[in-house]
Amino acid sequence: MEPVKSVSGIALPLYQANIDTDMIIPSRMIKDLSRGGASLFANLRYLPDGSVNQDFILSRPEYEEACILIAGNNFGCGSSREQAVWALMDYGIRALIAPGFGDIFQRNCIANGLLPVQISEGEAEALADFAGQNPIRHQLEINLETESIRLLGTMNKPIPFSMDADDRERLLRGLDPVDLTLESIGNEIAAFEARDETQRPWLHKGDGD
Amino acid sequence: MTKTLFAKLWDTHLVSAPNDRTGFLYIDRIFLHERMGAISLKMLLEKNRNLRNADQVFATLDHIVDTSPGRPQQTRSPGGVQFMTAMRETAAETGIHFYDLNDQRQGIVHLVAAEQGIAHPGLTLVCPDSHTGTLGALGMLAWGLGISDAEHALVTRTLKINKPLTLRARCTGSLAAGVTAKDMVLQLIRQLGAAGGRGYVLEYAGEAVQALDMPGRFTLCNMGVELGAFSSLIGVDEATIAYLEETERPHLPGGMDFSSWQTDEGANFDKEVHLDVNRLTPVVTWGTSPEHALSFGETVPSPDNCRDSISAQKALDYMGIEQGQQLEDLPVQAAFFGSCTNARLSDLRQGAALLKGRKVAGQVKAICVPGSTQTRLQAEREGLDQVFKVAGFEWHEAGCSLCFYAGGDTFAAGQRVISTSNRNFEGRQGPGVRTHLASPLTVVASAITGRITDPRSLANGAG
Repeated sequence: MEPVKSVSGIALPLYQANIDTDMIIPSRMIKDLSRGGASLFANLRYLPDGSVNQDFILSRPEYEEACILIAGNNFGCGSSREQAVWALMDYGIRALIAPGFGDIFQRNCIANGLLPVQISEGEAEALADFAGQNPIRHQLEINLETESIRLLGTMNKPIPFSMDADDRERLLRGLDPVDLTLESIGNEIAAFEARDETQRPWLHKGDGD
Repeated sequence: MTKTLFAKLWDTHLVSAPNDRTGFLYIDRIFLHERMGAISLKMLLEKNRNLRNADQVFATLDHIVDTSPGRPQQTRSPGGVQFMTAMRETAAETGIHFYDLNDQRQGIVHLVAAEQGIAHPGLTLVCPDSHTGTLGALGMLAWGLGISDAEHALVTRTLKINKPLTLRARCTGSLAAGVTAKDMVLQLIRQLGAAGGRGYVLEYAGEAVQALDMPGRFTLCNMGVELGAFSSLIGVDEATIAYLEETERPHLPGGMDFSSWQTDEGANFDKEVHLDVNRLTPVVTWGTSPEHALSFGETVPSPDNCRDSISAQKALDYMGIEQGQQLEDLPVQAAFFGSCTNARLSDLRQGAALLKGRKVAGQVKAICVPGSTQTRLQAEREGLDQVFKVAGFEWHEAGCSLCFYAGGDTFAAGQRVISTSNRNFEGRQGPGVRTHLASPLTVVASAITGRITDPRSLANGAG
């Protein structure tokens, strides 16, 4: 996995609560097993006849290069579809800022190196307003090393955030989670299984096959 | 020392704890399906990784399978065949247990896991589907995850979890006729909000929960995720044991005493909420989040009185309704009786009892999709299919069907669907389709009158 140290650029404000993964990527747009190509926010970006919905914010040219998305509380609630993360990254989004995320979605973000940054509702709303006023001039820099968000081109104080220390380190170093687990606790897994085999033998019938 | 059920499950599965808020939990069993599980297996095989124990991994086809009688096409989802083929190929290559379409064990993952004894008290189980918490009704820790985390579980048989806090929903009183577990959980989500349970594992307890049969308990646990909970739990009691023993369950170990998988008297929870079901009436959603719900007789609220006024206003616009309006008498164009929330035998029996001798209104397209092939076959042995068909419902094969739209047939934009499923998000059942979530009784009553209808208003409203 690529290490993630910071994400800088244009931020797309979609400051609304409960944006679910069906909205992020409708199931009908998941047409193959690949990670790419599925159309982000398809039901909002396109009208029933297939033409582009000019009213939707993602249709505006100034957001074509957006790499950060600012949303309301509970972003990514709903279905566990990891394709929601892939669709965001396929568009170019590398970081999300919201007061809170759907649980499964948040873990899917970490698994793919899409930075889920959690700050307060007030701070998120203020950032959404800032970005929305002038997307090209009011860009953001999210620094995972310093755990802070800078409002570029201003003298504003950076906004601090915190992330689980383990997740942060894994993202900074670009480590594969499976390899990391086997290296760090492989022995403990084996020890657990050795003890458990006597307690719950029916769960270990296929061990070591 | 008194412990909650969650603490017992956590402590007995903890392999390693980096700190006291995080733990690597051992994953006893894994259940996959074609929409995401096939990709997890492909990823693993492409990287030359081994499954730690294929004998404890199970898969079936449910998400995008064609449910039309006889399944003339395998799937109506564009590109869907690739998912099904990949599931078959990777299942064969890895040697996991696999129930294909022609297998009588096939069905929606969460029903099959319970029916086959794959899920039972005291286990941890994961599945790449957000409603996996359904199985918590069996006194086990089951939760949903994505494709990558599923791969991690398949290879290492562990997952790193930030330890949730514990939330108990004490449900007291007894349900009136015509009021069901579905109404209980819709009311709870309304009370707590779509993110009200985030960071918590939710345990349902109290006399009103104990009075529910297992299907009702599965319904409660199924929708815990809709209030943001990590998972849901119900402690083991006689009803759980009776369910486990009522038929042969191939993957259930024999001679086990599961009775200790419940919360100890006096154990503390981080948060407690209370639901009094004595005055509970049938509940229906009006908006585009399960938290947008109301009881019959109430009117649609003003966005300013909702948790988030922006999304509430968007919901009113999308659903084509106005504040101050009542939902009763809104015409519906379709009724969907299905999904892992409410498509078990008990739900079908209740629906059939209300439907008997009545007909679906002329303009309503009514579809019944039993949740598993086992359920469908048993329902047919009891003649329930005939009741549904004679009344004017289509009777389908098992699968997730129109819980969500994956391409193929659906309803037209702007059409109103009353549904026993679990999500009323914008576009969930098709672009522009307006979903109202409700109990099986409410869905049947509404199909009969052609309008959103309180089931208690029909003579002999069963319950």
